Amino acid sequence: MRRPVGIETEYGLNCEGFSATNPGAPTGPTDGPPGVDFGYECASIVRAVPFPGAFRGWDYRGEDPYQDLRGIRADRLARDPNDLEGPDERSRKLTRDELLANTVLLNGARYYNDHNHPEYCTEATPDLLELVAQDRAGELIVHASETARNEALAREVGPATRVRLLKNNTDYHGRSYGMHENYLCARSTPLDSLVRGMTPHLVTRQLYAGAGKVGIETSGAPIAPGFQMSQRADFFEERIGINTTAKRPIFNTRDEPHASSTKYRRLHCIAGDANRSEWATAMKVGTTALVLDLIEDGWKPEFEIADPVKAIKDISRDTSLTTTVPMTFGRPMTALAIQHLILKACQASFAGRDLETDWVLLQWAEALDALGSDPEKLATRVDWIIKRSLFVQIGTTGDPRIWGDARLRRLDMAYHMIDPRVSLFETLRKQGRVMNLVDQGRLDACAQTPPAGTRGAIRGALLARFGPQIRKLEWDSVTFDVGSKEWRLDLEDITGPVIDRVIELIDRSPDLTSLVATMKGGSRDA
Amino acid sequence: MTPETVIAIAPEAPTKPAETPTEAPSRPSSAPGETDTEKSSDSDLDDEIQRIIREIPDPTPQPGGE
Repeated sequence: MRRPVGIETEYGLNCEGFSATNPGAPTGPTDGPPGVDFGYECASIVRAVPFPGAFRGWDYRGEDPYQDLRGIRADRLARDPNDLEGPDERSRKLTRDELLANTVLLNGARYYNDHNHPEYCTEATPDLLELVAQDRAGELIVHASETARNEALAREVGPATRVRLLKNNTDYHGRSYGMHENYLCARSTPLDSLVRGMTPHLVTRQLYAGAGKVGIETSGAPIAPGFQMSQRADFFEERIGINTTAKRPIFNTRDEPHASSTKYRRLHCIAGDANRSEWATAMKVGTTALVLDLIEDGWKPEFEIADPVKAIKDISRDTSLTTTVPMTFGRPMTALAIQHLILKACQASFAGRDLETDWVLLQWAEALDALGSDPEKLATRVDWIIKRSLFVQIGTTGDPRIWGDARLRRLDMAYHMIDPRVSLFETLRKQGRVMNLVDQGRLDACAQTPPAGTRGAIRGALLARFGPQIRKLEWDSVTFDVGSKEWRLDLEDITGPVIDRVIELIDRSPDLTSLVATMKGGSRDA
Repeated sequence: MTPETVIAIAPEAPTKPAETPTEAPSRPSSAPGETDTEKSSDSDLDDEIQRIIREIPDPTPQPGGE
């Protein structure tokens, strides 16, 4: 890819065996299970991560979720009126740092409590396969902390009380949590071009990137029977906007570049599913990165979906792929026809650019062809097709009532569990029924090692060498205590070969004072 | 305490096309798990599915996120 891309995943937490009537903290096994204090559970899970060398803390100076790409600043962000309010007796006793549980791992990832969900954010990398591997390594890390937390719960209140973590986007009760992709973009690209070019892709890429869901959800209403391509489509209410927890927009305008704000934007893409299939993760990101390349090169699609909010749901709920959506000009189109147009534009501009691009283009074309002829050909790589193929064998084929079957909803949830012992997807992987792109050796390495040539590599090197002297840390800066002074290494403009040079300096410097002295050539007072 | 900030030099625009990746995804076969486990029998899968259905409870409500 010609830009760094990162993935942030909020994991679901299915809390089992917790009391509905005992909100207080247990003092011993005789007190019985506590009520579910999601903030406390989430913080406990993250803080249980058994990876030595992690840094605890985060520097929030660079974050401002109210800043809008449209050049305005929001007064407030929308909240879901139907959000779940649980007991918080335990979490209220935590300090802010304890509750947020910010953790920066040696592989450059951030792992923390975001809105009472454990969130794992990969370092951004321009290497597509590396990104898939880092995202998958996150599953291993999150599962390790899940295991550690459940061991603690078993000691505290008994083995019947446990938390199972899910890489998905819904609780099946009308509430969603996110998977966001982050694409660094040139600030000079007009926002209108980004919105116009990205929207048809974000609405239709679910054809191969949808994670699939048993049920149709509406906020505040019971789940209805059905099967659809996307976990997330039910939850989008606006075409464009800054909100993320309610009134979710297809094009999110949060303006936090985590890099030089004069040069870059960050496309904070919230209209996508968390995938279990590695292939689907690669295609979700790989195709979107190519569409961004097109837009930055001046592409302006001649087609526009008239009502993207309705279209994303209509497309998701029609797995026969025959639904057409009204276009602003011309005849209605299927999602497949729209995807073919986008693919054609990418092929015309980027075929032969490099091996990675050619792989994405080839897979994209094969997937669209299969979707148009025999979608079952994709039953090893597209999550929603893997699920549907399996579930119709379990239920009564052709009978739509199977989609109201509670067993299938449990299986659907089990598909997304990250504990290999109970995960349906991991069972399929173990049995050789899904396609893998990354081998176990690389996954294990990625759990400890940042992507090469990224700012995360600098962060990881600094953590490994000078971890105890780090005072604050964020995506684009690291602040140290050096004697009686604070010293801040600004990473916002560090890219390309400079990264390797900085890492070499870190490795070569006998101590932090020497590193500071060596780097003074580019210093300024903040 | 005002921090002293150090900025490394020579930024390179990330929008510049990356050089050919040293490790591009290899073209996968359409066969599942080609590089992985041999596909097991359908009855093995059925047994596992029945076990998971027995073991997993219904989804519990969660807070919304993001």
